[in-house]
Amino acid sequence: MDFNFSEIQLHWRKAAADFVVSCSPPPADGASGAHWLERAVADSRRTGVFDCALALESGDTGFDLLAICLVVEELARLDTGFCVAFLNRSLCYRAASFFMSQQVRRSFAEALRTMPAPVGAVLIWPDANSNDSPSSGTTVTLADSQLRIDEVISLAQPDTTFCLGWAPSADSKADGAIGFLASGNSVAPSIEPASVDGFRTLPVNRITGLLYNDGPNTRIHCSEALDFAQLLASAGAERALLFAATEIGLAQVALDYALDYSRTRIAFDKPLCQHQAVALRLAEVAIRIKSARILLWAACERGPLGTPDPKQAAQCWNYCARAAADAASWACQLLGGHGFLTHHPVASWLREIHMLRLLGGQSLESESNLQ
Amino acid sequence: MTSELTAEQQSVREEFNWFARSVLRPYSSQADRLGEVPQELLDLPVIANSMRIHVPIAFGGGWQSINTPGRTYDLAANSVLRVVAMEEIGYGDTSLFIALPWPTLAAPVVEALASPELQHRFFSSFVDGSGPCWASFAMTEKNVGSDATGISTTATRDGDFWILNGTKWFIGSGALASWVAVFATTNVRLRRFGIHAFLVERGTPGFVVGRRLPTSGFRALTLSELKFENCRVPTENHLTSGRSGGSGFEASMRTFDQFRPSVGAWAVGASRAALEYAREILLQNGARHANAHSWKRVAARLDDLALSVQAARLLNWKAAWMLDRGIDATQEISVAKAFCAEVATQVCSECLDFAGRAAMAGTAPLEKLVRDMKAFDHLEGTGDIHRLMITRSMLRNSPLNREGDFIR
Repeated sequence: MDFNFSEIQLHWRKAAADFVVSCSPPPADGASGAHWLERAVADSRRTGVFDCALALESGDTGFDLLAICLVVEELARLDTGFCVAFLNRSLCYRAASFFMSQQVRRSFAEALRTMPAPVGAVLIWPDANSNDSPSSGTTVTLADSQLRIDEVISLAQPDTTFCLGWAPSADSKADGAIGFLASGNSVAPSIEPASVDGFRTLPVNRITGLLYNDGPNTRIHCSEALDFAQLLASAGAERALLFAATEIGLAQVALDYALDYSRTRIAFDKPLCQHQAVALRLAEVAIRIKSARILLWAACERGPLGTPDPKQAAQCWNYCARAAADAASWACQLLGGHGFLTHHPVASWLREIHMLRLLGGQSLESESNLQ
Repeated sequence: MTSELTAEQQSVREEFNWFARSVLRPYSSQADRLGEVPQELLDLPVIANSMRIHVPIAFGGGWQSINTPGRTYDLAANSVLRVVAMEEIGYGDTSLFIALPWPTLAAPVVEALASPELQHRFFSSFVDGSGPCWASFAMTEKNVGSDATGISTTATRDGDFWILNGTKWFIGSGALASWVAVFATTNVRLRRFGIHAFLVERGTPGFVVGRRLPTSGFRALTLSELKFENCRVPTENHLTSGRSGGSGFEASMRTFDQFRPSVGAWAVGASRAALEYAREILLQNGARHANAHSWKRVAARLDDLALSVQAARLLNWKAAWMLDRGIDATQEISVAKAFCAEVATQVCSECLDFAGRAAMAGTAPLEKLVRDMKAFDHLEGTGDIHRLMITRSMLRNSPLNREGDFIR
């Protein structure tokens, strides 16, 4: 066993931490959050952090999931919306690298690098077996140079320029899926903001009937029939672990905030942290976070197929999601009534952790996969 | 980072798994009933090998490989190897193992502070083949536990002797020990700086074994009261000789740091055993009666518990790994120790519930595990004390102290 990080992992974690320090924080009101996100993404592209999944894939050492997890955890300190945008982009590329041909991957990587509106990368995830998932009911058809996505609620911006995903094909049996990769201007008969009380900076939209027409301004780069079960198992494992890393990052930032508060808030003539009950609770939160984090790191190890073990990843995500929710809830509790106010961000972190659990495919569903 | 065991670690795991299954488990319930180590177990040749585990290689110690004759594993100096081995011990029976003859926590104190001659005498008694030899570590007192700086046993210099006065409590194998590492203060008001360590030999005038303390778990281990009534200890047995006072306390703290991952590993091993027993009972009895839905729920819960055990194992491995590299691991050790003990308590308790009345059967000693489990929370600093240490450490090292690190 060896608990050292590699140089690559340390490099990207430091790059992410430096970026977080240098980036201005998101606006508190949320009204101009989308603009902040675009600026932040542009800044992080300049530092290379936003595209680190591509850099890792093309580097000498090969893709390193743990490095991405370390980056994600750092980015969660900045803003959850930013973190999810980063995840979407990284997962798009990773998913493509699993299942698409070398030629298509190259074209995809090139498209990602040169894409003018980077936040618009969307990963459509197949959740055909779930009634609870946001993308439930999504079907995709590809015919006559036209890619049609019947319905999806996604994190896309209205000007989505890039789309990669898999969904059950309308034509295929339940175990088949279409993988697609399209860029350019899409046509969507209906794009309306979804009423989600969550990420302050990342818009969530309900997109109905998204159309990509292969033409001068739009390209359907590829479509491939895929093994649905294999897709879920392999790409799903990495996806689960990256969501887990985001949740752990949020739990850690909530703990840091609660620690600071407990140092300065005076109750019964002494700082909160000097009350034994509070100190014990803070330690308990730290223990939960550390136990989840070490499981995550171990789950990032690759199995014989070159990807993390799907069952282990699903279990790990479940554990991390629960640990993070408990940790953030305890941190919120420590602030008393203040934890309920928007002056303090702890409540929003708690809400975002819950949102990630839903967004990522619902913990109950994940649990049922384990049985 | 990789959590895979090396070939050497894997070999150690296999050998100690054999030791747990073939040596400890067959005597486990008998020892629990008797309240001591059965003589037949002490007569086994392998016990001479187990006595060497915590003896440094330089003094003829180390576990002599059973599968690879001529090879010796240095568990005393390698924390990772030790936790891998101790997890298997926990899987067998921790209480029986620590009741066996071995140098206990006295070994690192002697190794750190005793003169070469005394070290030789001490360690030789565990490897010279003269039969079982026990040692004890005597820090705790009736009213002083986790706050070890408050001990009241006194040490007064009298020519070539030190005079010890006081009573120690909860001393494992104290009644059997040939050697006892005793901590005493020269000045109570100096707290940690007044604490000195002494190696007291059995038969020293004034050293009296008091009553045995009954316990709900860990029954194979004899916990005793040790009294020191004008006990005259020669200066060569003063383990801080040649140093300023206070190094006795530091040595004891280093010893705790070194041994806490072992306690965590015992807890992890015991949790593993509990899960295995519960699954076995459920498959034999419970599954027959349960409907598919409730069986799924139980199976999912067992998976959850197994995942907690895996997290505990990894935290423990990491702490041991850091120790081996000389990295400050105090916070990691506390996290691992507190978490492992908590997980063990939870796992054993839930497994007992799952197994129901079958848990009382002699073949599945879940009931014993539940009794034993609480000891892991108490050994080497209680869970709550570790939690306080973790919070203090976080308040000192919080990222918020790093300028600009905290964004919103």
